[in-house]
Amino acid sequence: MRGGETLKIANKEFRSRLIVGTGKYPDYPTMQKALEASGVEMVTVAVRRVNLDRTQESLLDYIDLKRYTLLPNTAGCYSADEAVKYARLAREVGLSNMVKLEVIGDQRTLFPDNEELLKATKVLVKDGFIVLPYTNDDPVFAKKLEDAGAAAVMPLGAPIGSGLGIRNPHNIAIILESAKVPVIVDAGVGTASDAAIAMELGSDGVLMNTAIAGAKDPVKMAEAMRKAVEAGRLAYLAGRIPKKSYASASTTMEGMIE
Amino acid sequence: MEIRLNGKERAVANGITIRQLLDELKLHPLRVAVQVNLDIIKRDRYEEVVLQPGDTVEVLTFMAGGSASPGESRAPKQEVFDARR
Repeated sequence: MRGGETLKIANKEFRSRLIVGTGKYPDYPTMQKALEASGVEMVTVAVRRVNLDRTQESLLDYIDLKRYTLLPNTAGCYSADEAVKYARLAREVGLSNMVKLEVIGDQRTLFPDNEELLKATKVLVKDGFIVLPYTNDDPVFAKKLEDAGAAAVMPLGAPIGSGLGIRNPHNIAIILESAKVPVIVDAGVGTASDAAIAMELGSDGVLMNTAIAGAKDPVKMAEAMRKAVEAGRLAYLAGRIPKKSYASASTTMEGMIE
Repeated sequence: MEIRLNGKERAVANGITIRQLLDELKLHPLRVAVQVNLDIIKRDRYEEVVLQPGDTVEVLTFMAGGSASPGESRAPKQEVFDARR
């Protein structure tokens, strides 16, 4: 049983087990309302060039840093060197040593490049980072990341932005069985039931972006996700009944008239 | 003198420091990271690092993003395919 009232990553503690990305919202005010409705305490951000002509508003004007912990990512990095560079730049901007490490191996699927991911994890751990690597739903590789010092592992449910849900719950369950660090399902969630499934398996948290930002009503979906994560967690803690092929009556026959 | 700032040529005063450049750009030093010729410059050195002609300077900050590139993947535009075929 992966108990605990809170989600603990390294020395940080979060009451919400939902983490959301800040990308793809129709506009910043909608994002701000969705963050509020989702009840999250941690949001992911990317590191990019400052917009020098000031034609766009700044994301940070819409995120209350007293309320939300920023989790910078290395989005768009295709090699260990590049990801390490972006993690270090993120540390400079944010004065936080936590990073969601992404090293992408293929543009079409956005699946991770495991070899480069492991390499970057080792470098960043040595450099004092709290590393949260985005990885495949591969129990062997998740263990390797943990052994390399990752503070959590983030297996995908399905490709980023696909909304296909948790495609291999059995693999996620195996990862959960052996991981001693938090397991956060990252990517693939399409709707609330997907988030609930991830949590029912015993995951320590769920990270999503497109499922909320791309919904017709992102604020409503954010609320749905908050409830789904809470419901899934409760169901996991409560312990579900075993599955059976035949019925078992929930009402006794005793006392029926003849 | 000319420097290359975020991918574009820009004229700045000779002997300008990073701190002065950020002031000129009206950027808060606590909200950016600065890289000069591929080296990340720590914040406590912004006042002492003097830029040289031709330096490549990158000023970065946090932007909206979830996973992978903040844009779309370069995947073909298609709906779910039947993986069992």
